[in-house]
Amino acid sequence: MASKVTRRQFLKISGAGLLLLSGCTANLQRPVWMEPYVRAPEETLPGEDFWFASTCRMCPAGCGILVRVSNGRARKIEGNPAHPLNQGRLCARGQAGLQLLYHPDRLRHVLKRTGERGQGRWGRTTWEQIVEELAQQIQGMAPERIAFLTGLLPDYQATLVARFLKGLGAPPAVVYDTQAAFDGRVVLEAASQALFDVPVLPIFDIARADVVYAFGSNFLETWLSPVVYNRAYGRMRSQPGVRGMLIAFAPRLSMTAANADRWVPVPPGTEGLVALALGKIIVDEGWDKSNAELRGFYEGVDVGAVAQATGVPAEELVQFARRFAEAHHPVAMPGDLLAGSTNGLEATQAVEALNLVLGHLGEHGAIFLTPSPPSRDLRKVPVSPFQAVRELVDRMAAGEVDALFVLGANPVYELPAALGFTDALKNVQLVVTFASMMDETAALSDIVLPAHTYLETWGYEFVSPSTDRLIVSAQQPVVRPLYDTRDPGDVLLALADKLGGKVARRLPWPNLVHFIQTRLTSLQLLEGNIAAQDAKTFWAYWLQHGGWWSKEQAWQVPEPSQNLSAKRLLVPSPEFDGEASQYPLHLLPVPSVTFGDGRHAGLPWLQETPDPMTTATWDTWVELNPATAERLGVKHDEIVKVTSPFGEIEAVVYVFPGIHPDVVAVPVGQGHSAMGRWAEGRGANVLRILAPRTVPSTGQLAWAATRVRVTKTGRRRVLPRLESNIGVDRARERGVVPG
Amino acid sequence: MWLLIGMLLVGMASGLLLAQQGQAAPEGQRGSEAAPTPITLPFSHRVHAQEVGISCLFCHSQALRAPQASLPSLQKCMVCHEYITVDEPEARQQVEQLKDAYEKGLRVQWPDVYRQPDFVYFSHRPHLAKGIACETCHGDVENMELVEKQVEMNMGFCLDCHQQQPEEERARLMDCITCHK
Repeated sequence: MASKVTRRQFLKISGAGLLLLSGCTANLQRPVWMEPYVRAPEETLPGEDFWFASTCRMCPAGCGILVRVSNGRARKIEGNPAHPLNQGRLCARGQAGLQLLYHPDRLRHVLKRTGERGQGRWGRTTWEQIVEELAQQIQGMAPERIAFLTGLLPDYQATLVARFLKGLGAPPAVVYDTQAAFDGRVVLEAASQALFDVPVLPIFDIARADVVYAFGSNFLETWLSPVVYNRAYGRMRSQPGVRGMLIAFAPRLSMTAANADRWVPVPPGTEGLVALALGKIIVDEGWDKSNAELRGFYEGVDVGAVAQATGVPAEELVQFARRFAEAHHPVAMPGDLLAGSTNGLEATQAVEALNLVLGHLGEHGAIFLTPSPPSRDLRKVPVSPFQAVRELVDRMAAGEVDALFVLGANPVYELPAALGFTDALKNVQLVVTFASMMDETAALSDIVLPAHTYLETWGYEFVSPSTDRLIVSAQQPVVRPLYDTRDPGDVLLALADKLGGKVARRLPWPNLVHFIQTRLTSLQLLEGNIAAQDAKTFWAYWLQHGGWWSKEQAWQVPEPSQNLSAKRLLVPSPEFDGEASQYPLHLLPVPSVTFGDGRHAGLPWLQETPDPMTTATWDTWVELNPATAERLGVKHDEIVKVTSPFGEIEAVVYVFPGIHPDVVAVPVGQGHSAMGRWAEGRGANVLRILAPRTVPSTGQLAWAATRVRVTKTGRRRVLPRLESNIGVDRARERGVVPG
Repeated sequence: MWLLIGMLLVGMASGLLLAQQGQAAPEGQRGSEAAPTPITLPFSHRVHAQEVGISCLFCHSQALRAPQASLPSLQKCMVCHEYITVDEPEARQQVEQLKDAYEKGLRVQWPDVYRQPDFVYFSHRPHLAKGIACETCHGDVENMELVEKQVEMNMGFCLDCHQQQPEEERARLMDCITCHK
């Protein structure tokens, strides 16, 4: 290109520009101040690092972590190599835990509302005063009118809440958050109950499988325990002499589907039908040598009809079935997407039945069950279905709840707006929220109790689903609490002490540490990674190692239920809310690999982490198939309105060939009206426009059963993306990829 | 074209600066207020080290064991100041302030006089183990009212001394990676 400015001139110009700029700005170098401890911790050496083992609490999986602490400050979080669950690995969410600790918008004091609810006017008070006041209020209430709504809490908190409520004589806590609904925990447990007579989470040993069929399962991004499944996936691909094969049946090309050898796009809610057809073919072709009594499963299944409903040709279904049946260690795994459909339970059973029919239970590369905890003290509090939340909201709306305590959940944000939680809240006299940041629910509360982050407090977790071991993971404070916060567990203990009577007898411990130590006493006698003569030594080792785990493998082999031979598997057609004529597209909310159900949208590292499929950051987008986008007349970066019968949101279009033409996918997590400077006023919250539809068989929220309409707004906003879409678009234009 | 690129560069640089200022603005305006501003107190090394004769290592107690010499915790100040105060009214008031900070757990901060950049690895431990006196690098702190930078601790300063070490030590001490890890 012809140019009139030489290189020398260019350097002069930019040099002059920089000089000019540096003249304009004040001293760029910050003065450095040193701040000594008020009271120095005994063991610290300035400038030397300490590594503390603990448990990650950024999602319910419970990975082991090591936190590097220098001069009393947590600096870095890594996976704990000794921990049998994640074996040294850690995901982006786990790494970002530091930003939870240091978030500038963290709650620092006990807050009590001074203005109207939701006005954002708060007065400060002390812990002593608030415990006194809460105890008085609770004493004046009928216990059955006190309600507790919690998310999937760490075990120690869940147990304390359960005991507290039992002591009060109040109904048990509703344990629900959207993360649990996305995992489909209730559905998986119900399926295990139906097939194996025990309501526990299944474990799929994909690491040793040679063929894996994933039905609507996004196990590499968000499902149940993604770090474990990522590792297992890697091992599956690199077994000695075998490269395991993965085939994904799902309406959207998730990261899991993208890593598969074959992605089979099926309409939403029909994954179970595919599993049924495969089973039918396996039985008809006689691959099920030893399990003839299970043939009744597939009575009346019409492979042709399935082919028609799913768009997968019958010949291909036969090939899929044969490949599965021929394999030495095949495993079929259900997943998050199944749980979101109205036929979730039936579909999950149909998928798990594929393993049953071929007799692949409890062996290499097959299906196992999560073992029960090593002692009664470590029992887990069961997860509640969405139906329980619905009943709670109904009770609140009817004025039957005087006090609502919210812990580890953000119902105002994460529940479908049509459920009416926010309105029902107005009929509750006293709303108390435990939170480390001012989230949407805390903002509508009367009292906000600032909570420690997981890096500032004690805890334990019986890991479920686990791997081949029983694991009781340890959690310990790695830094002194930064602000005047307390662990919700400690608050409950203080409250119980103040209330006295039966509650105090149920919660007799002076503090969290005493409580956790009593939970561990039975572990000391079991054979595991720690050998200790006395409780004190055991406690020290338990903290040092990051937990206790069994020495021997503890796979629990599933026993097929007795009454299976009379069982017939039926997968009803999925149902959707909204008239197909008015709302022609299916809405698929996608749990975010970084924000989960939206709880981590306040952390800038996670905002900045690109979505694995679109490389988009910092915003909400709508994934549209190119054909759908063309029909609607929209292009990349145009803002569209997504309308369901229950509300509407606006988001930016991302034209994505990896999605079924009848489906629009919207990532979950943004659209916060509170939760700190990086979350607020960014993107849109797709959870709000979901149909609050409950599946009768399990009580699960059918979160993928809403129909929507997409309309143009004529406005545009460029979606921040790490990579351009040129490669994908060109490939499509040239016909390399479909769409 | 060069002109264009130059303008772009300047534009980007100014954008960056503006963005930094823009980010700094909302601090403390949010719902949760900023942490209380730390206080600064004058500290006389002359009084403590010279007149009273406290050894450097009594306060900077970690220098023998750790990379950083460390500032004493307020708790350590209280070892003496719990009982000892001074007559001079201004100093007495400062001691009171210190006591108050200790009791309430307030933040107290002092300016960092000698600071090595991030790319320098320096540890007090081996230097003290060799018996190098504090004054060698930090100057005559004992006679300073407020510590000021007497010695420019740059690379030349370090190497001057490293070069004078015994022959068998010199190769290691002159190696880049000894200080630039």
